[in-house]
Formats: sequence, structure tokens, C-alpha cells
Amino acid sequence: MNKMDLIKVKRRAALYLSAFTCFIFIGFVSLIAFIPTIMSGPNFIFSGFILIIYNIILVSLYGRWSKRLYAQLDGGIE
Amino acid sequence: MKKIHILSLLLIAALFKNITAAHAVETVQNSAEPKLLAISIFIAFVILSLGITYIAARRTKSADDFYAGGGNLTGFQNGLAIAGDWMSAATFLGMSGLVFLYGVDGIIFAVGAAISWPIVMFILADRVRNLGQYTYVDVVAYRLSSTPIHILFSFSSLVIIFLYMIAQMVGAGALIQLLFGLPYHYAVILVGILMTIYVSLGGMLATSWIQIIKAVILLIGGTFLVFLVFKSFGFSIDMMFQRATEVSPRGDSILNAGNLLTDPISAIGLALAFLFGPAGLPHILMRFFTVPNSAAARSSVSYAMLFIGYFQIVVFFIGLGAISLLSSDSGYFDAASGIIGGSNMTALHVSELLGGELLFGIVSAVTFATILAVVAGLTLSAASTFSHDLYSAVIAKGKPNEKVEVSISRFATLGVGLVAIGLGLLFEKQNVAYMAVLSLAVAATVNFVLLALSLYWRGLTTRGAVLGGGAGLISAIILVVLSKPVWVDVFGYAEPIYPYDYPTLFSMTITIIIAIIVSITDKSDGGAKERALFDAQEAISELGADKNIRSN
Repeated sequence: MNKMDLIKVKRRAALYLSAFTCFIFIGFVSLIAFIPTIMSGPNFIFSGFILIIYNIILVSLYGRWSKRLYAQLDGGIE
Repeated sequence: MKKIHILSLLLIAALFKNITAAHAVETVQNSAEPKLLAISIFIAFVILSLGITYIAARRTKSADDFYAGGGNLTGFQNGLAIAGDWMSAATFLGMSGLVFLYGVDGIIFAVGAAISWPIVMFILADRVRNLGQYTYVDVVAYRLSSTPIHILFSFSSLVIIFLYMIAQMVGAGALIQLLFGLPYHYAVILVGILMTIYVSLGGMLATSWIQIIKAVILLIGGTFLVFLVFKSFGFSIDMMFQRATEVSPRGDSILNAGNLLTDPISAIGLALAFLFGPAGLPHILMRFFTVPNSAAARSSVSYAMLFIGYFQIVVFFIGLGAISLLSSDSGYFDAASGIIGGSNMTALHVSELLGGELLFGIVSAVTFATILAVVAGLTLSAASTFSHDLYSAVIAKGKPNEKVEVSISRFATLGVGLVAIGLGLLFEKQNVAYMAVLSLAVAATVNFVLLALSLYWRGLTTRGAVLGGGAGLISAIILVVLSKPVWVDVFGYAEPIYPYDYPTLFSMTITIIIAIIVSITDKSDGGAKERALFDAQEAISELGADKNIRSN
């Protein structure tokens, strides 16, 4: 992998993952605000905790993936 | 500067003398037993943190030490420090209070406080670390014109910092009031003086270490408190829910969603503030310069996310448990049927109820240390805005005298301390989580939008950034002033002119649209030069090569 490939892949991943995270959270807030009866309170709480755990895992996986991506770079980083 | 520190210590001594006298009067009047154990633990924590500041001060010699702690923290240490910055009065006191008041809807704040970190990681961590020196403004100014960008961001940073500081000062005031039984204004003045000493002496190194130690203690303390909460319900969540509906004044609705957000614009505004606000907070972005490279910056965010996510779940359950534990105990309510000390004191009441004076003392002390450390971080950030962004970049044109720069920063700290005290007194009755979200709204509007555009959009020019950011900042300030917390609660008008809770939806849109339109129509030579520098900036931001392409 050359430097331009790395920049392109990382930029695409960053933008798609950010957009997906925004979409999920705005959806979650919209459900609570606009259709609060769609599920019970405890289920909202449970969904919220799932979202937090999803964030933790996503950030951790992205960190590992980035590290591997830089390791694949031809000639390393000056 | 030594004279200023001696003066500060004398002021604290005088304040404590007044505190003791006032407390004696209060005790006689109320015939209440002073919480001596809690107060002793509290004072021990303050002395410990001052000791850390003193040690750090001896190691702070250069501007790099002062702003970036020498840039030598590990990813784990910096992750704890970021988590420490984030686990502020707003998170611990404000969120538990909101859950106590609104029940299930508090989950929005719990998730919201954790949701921005993936965005910080994906969009900013690497690039900000590789492009900046001491502040994130260096990043935006990398290919854009330095002077107008530094001036714009100085204003936006100060607005954000002061709004965020209100939340911390109000939390500190209410805490001291509860612990010492003292008038609110004593506490606010005390916090102002202590934070001035912390920052002017120790800089980023002291602030970082206090954050790290505090984060560890707060995580352990929170875990122990939530363990006691669960224990009081026989480790049954069902029993906790059932009891909450039985004793809460809201009845069954406390476990139904829809109590907090009443209109779509406020709901979307809140979501946007949570998503993008933390990624624009000056004192959080500064933390990327305390690590040696971008790999450590990524690692910092991973650890911070883990600690913050865990803490949000813990605090949510403390608030939820408080509904059942406190609502049925009239001893925690005043004559007006409000919880004593306001909703911000919910977690502290729970600690006293379940762990007695010892746990109350520890939780109060850690909370106070939390507030002091966060306020110190904010003050440091504000001080660096004056010394680095205004003096170094604008007045000295990038060739500052390092000694003058650090001196300006230290004197700016005194000014910021005074303003913080004034704001703390003005906004006494506000929920601290709500005030913190207002600062997130401004951070999302100006800082995040322009950072993201400068890093990912070739077309952004200085003209677009300044006009878009300026319009967004002005609109955000106007909407905040016209909203209920300022227009009604501070100015005393009957109805707010801006009827929604958060300005983000409108102010972010204004920034984005104006920045894009002005940049696209900018046909100047400077604009063309800035666009041409984008590829080189992107390569350096991802690969961390030398920083020699600055436009001016």
C-alpha cells in the first residue's frame, strides 16, 4: 500500500463510519422525542446501553485497524 | 507572579476564616452536627491536589511544558486525562440530577455524552495531532491565513469555555453549600482562587495529573456507589424500576420516554450538540498535543471512550436509583418540595444515604477535585487562547518571546478566574448538564464545522471560514441569550424569545451554508493558494511529515 492509498482508505472509512454513527444517534433521539411509545422505558434504557457498548467496540476496532493500515505502508512513515 | 500566589493563599486563608465563622453561625442556628469527617476528607483532597500542582510546577519550564505537558503522556495516561476532563460536574452531578428528574429520558444524556468520541477518533485524532502545535486553531490555520483564523477562534473558544465553566462553577457552589452549609458565593470564590493557583503554577502537566488521579478515583467511587444502589434493591433491576414508579411524583411516567424533549427542533439540536460538540471543545482538543504521536492520540481516544462509556452507565443507574431512594425520604426535600441543594446534588444525597458521612465526604471531595481539575483545564485553554492564539500568532506574527507568552498566559488565568466567579454567581439556579450542552452547541457550530471543513474539504478558504464561522458564532450567541436560561432565568422576562432549548440546528446550518457559499465564490489569489495547499496538508495530517508548507 502506498501513501495515497492509505489516505484515501482512511478518509473514506472516517466519513462513512462518522455518518453511520450520526444516523444511529439521531434516530435514537428521534424515537424518544417523537415516538416515545414505540417501546417501553426499560427497553429504551437497554438500547442506550447497547449504543454505548457499540461505540466502545467501534472505536477500539478502528484503532486496531488504523494501526494495521500504517504497518502495511510501504517504507513506513517518515 | 510569586506575589500573586502568596496573595491567593492569603485570600483562601481569609475565606476559610469566614467559612469557619459562617459555619459556626449556621450550626448554632440549625442545631445541626457539622460533617467533620466529610470536611476533613474534602480538605485532604484539596491539599493533595495542590501538592501535585506544586511538584508539576517545578517541572514546568518551557511553553511546551506549560501548554502540552511536554508532550510525553502515554495513550493510556492521556485517555484517563481526557476521560477526567469529560467526567465533569455536568456529567456526574448534572446527569444524575436529570435522570432523577426526568427518568428514562436521561438516557439521551448518557448516550449523548459517549456518542461523539467515535467521531473524534475517525475525523480528528490523527489529523489534529499531526498538524497542530499547542492548540487546535493551529490546525485550521495550517493552510488558511493565520491572523483572521486565530482571531475568530479566540472569540469562539472563549464563548465555549465560559459557557462550559458556568456548569462547573454552579456545581462547585452547590456542593460546598451542601457540605459546609455555607452561602453559595463563598464556594464560587473559593473555586475561582484555587483554579487560578492550579493553572498559573502547574500548567498542563499539573492539570493532566490531577485529571488522571481524579478519573481513577471517580471511576472507583462511582462503581462502589452504584454497587450500593444495586445492593439496596437486592441486585434486582426490576425491583428498582417498580419502586421508582411507586414513589416518584411522576408515577408510572417516570419509566416512560417523552418527559424531557417536547419539540423536534430541540431534540435534533440536542443530538447535534452531543454528536459534534465534544469534537470542538478547546480543552479536549488540547489533549491531543500532550502525547508524542498520532498513534498515541488514537490510543488515547480508545481508552477515553472505554472509561467514559462505563462511567455514563454507572451515573445513569445512580440517578435511576436516586428516584426510588430519595423520593420516599422527606429528609432530602426542602419546604418547597425541591431536593435540598437542587437536582445537581442528587448523587451526593445518594452517597450519604447509602454510605454515611464517610462516603459522602469521599464523593464530595472527588466531585470537588473533578470540578477544580475541569475548571483548571478550561482556564488553561482560555489562557492559551490569549497567549498563543492572540499574542503569539496575531501580535508577534508567529515569532513570540516564550517568556512573554507564558507570562501572558499566567496573567490571563487571573482574568479568566474573575470572569468565572462572576458567571458562577449569575447562573446559580441552572442545571449544570443543560448549561454544558449549550457550550457543546457553540463548539459544534463553529469549531467542529470549521475543523472538519478545513481537514476534509479542499474548497474552504479563509474568507469562507471567517464569514461562516463568524455568522454561526453570532447566531449561536444571540439564540442562547434569547433562550429561557438567559432571557427568563437571568434577565427575568416572562417568556423566552427563542422558544427552543438549543441553537445548534440553526447555528450549525448557518455556519455550513455561509462557509461553503463564500468559499466557492472566493476567486482571490489567496483562496486559490489555500486550495492548492490542501493535498500537502492532507498528506502531512495523515502521515505526520514535517510541517513546512504553512501559507504564511
